[in-house]
Amino acid sequence: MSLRDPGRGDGEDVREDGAEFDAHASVREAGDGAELYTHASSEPGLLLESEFLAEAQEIVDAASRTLLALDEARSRGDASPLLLGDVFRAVHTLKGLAGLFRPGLLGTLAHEYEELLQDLRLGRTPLDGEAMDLLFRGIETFGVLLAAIEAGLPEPEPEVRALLAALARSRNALGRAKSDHDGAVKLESWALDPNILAVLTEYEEHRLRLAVASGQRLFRAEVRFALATLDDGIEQLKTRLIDLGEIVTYLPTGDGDDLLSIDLEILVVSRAPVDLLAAALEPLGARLEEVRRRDETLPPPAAPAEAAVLRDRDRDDAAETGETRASPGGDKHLAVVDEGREGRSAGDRNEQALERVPTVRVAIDRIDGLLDVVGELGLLPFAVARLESSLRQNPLTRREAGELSRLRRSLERHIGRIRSGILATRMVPLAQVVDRLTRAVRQIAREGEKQVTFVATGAETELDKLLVEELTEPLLHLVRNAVDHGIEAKATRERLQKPVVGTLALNAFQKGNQVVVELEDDGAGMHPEALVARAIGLGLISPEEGRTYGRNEAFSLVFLPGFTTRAEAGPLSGRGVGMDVVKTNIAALGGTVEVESEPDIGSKFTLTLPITLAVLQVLVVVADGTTFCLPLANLEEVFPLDVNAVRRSPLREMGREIQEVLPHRDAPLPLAPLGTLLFDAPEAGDARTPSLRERLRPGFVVVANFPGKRIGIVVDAVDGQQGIVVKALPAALRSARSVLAGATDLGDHRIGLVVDLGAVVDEFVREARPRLSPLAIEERL
Amino acid sequence: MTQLTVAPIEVALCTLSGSAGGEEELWAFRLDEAAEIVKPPTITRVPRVDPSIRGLFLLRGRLVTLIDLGARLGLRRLHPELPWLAPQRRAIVLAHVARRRDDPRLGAPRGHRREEQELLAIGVDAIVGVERVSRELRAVPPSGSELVRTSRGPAFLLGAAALAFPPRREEP
Repeated sequence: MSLRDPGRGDGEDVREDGAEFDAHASVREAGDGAELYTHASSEPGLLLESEFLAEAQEIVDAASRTLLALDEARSRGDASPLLLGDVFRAVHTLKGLAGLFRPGLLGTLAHEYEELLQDLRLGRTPLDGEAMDLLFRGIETFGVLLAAIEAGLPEPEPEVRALLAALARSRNALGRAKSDHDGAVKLESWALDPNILAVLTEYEEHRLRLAVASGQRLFRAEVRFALATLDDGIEQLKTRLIDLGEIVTYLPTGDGDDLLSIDLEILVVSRAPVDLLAAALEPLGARLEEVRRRDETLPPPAAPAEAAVLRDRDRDDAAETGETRASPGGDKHLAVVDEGREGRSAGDRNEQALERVPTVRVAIDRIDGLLDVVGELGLLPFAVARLESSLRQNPLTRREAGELSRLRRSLERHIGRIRSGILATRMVPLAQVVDRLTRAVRQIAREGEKQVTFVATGAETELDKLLVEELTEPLLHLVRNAVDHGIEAKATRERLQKPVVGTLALNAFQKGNQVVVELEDDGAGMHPEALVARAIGLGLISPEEGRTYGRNEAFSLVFLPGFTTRAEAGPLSGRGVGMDVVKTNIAALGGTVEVESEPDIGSKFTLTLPITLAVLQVLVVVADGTTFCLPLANLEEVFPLDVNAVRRSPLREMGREIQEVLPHRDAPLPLAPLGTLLFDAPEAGDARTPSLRERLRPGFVVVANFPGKRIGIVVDAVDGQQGIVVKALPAALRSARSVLAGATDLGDHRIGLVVDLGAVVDEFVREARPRLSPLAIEERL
Repeated sequence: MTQLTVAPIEVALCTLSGSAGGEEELWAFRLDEAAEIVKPPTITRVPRVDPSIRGLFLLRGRLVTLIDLGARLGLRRLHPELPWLAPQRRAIVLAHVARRRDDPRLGAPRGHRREEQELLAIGVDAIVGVERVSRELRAVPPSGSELVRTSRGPAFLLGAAALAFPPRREEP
């Protein structure tokens, strides 16, 4: 029977229950290999917004990196105008984007931020620690704002308003404390044409003052370029002077007598000897002369040794856009010159672009779509293998079977390559997280008045894009903890004869199919005994339990919910929330976190993560006829269940009064059948249900280990270990998300339900307490 | 009651036995939502879901949620042991676009939303025809369905989106 639809009428789009339909499909009887072709419409507006957000985020990231470089340069006393210019241009672009796509707070913030940058560039306000703080705070706020827009949440208005106010305040305050260099130098005392001085932009004037104030010499050159090759000419000029000095300005003189060429007057500041400069400019046919002070006859003294050599490739084109200029001698070439400047800047960008491999930005959904297709492709070899074995039965077709087997193996290999190729496109370097951490360390250290150096190695290690995003929060938390709790105050460090400046080191590397991120501080470290005592004091564990804790178990106590080593919450951390969240988040990504510490030496957190989320390593098990996938990260071991060894335990174990346990490795292991855990609603089981032992069938025990919770999950069969591609559960099954993390096609026509083990174990522990305690009270009576 | 007549649509007509009163009722599914008809597949039971959801099956690598229509509409008692997808029965696969938040446990950034086409399947006894029907915009119980006139008599027209999300039911 064919149900093929001859002609669908359009315009019958009917909405029911407010839900939208968008499904087109051909309908055929199954089994004839009919392709399902469907397409979901995409709203162009949404697409543009996601593009905008991605681009804006990239700009903010780039600006953040540049700021970090600037901060570092500043601490060496060499605040390069180049870097400040880069940040300025980035924010300028962001402002433009915001104006186009997202009028409102983002644009306002970008504008005010740009204003501050402009003041810094022009030397109106000094680039000090305070200004740097504001700049970094701005980057954070841009991030928060963009994240809110992306998540469709209301814009964090109070936060942005607070920053806007701070920006305005600082510009007023800083503006009064006018920067040192300018003002002191009277440019009029140089033998410069006043007409030239009159047309310098504020930035050019600032650069000029700064240069002569630092003892650089001022040169004037005239050079003639053919109009047709003006761009190339200026490019050459810049290249020749790049290591020798800084071009302050180019001005058309308007003296040229022919219409095919243009005369430029160039102001250059430099520390180089005049003959070197002259030699560099000679091939261009430029005339060079030094501009001296009106009141001196000798060249100015040699530059002070401490002044840094400034190299600026005059890349402030974007900043000049829109500024009107008049040439001193007339304005007939004005338009041409401006075009020339723009042309050069475009040339610059091309040059930069050529150094890198061209890239495209791809929505992650598209890559996921491809992965799904590859998943289907992966099934083909199974079908071919079945065909092979039936061909092999017949002596006449045995040869073909061999041929087919060869083809199948080749197919498998290629599918594998496509798969890893697609997975590789999701990979990004860890560097983007490292940048955020560097900013965070800087800020936390400042607020907590600690001195910390953050060293990162292995930032180039690649991880799944989504993984990197999810990793940021946990790492930020660890870093915050390390600086706030780990690194001691200066006085303490001096007493312990440790370097005054603490060190926080991040090291990332790939290890097989996993990525390891280590975060190590040289701070106070932790005493295992103190941790145990604290946990007992907080009522998280009983004193009896405490006695059984070994060194490593003691360290893992910090991951218990509610654990804190501080009597009172500090301003930055120590509220007793967080480490458990770190652990849970990392576990949700299929990873683990371990801690090692030595009192007075420091602590080290080791995060081990799967290289991509797309492939999750699981143990495939069967329980109650359903196939489940248990993420390997929290599994300890698997062994056959000896039903006769199961005991009802009178021991208090994880808050439970009575339960079925299995003596295992000198500690009773609580048991729970997976089928019961998942399928029986919590209220279904009460103290009167038949004992576990009566319900247990021979099977296997899978030991799941979470901090403070270790349970044996009973399953009927174990099907081995496998790497799977996890698919999200359909929306219709969203209530199952409390215990399932997704589902997967196991490749043999079976669906594996991916269990959220952490949630299941938590529920087991939580549900056990209220249910069993009345009975316990009865027993005591 | 005001009646609005809207443009006719094409539907697949299906029968479903076991309804209240033992009569055979006629159900209609929009052809533009119907993706394909499949033979009874192997079902994977899913924990913690509405009892009307039978589970998941795979259709060329894609996950399909199988819904027991009778149970969903509360038309018959649930018999877990009932071979509700006997060999002669069929499942009609419907496609709808679901808008959902990604699960951060799968690595999605928090609050990340996406629209994705999802597949649902409804078990039916037989598909008895395809025809163009005119509609009167008048909702009838069970909720989410509307009544259409067909050559075989009145039929309930069901939309995929209404089926995808079980109504909140009172605890017995």
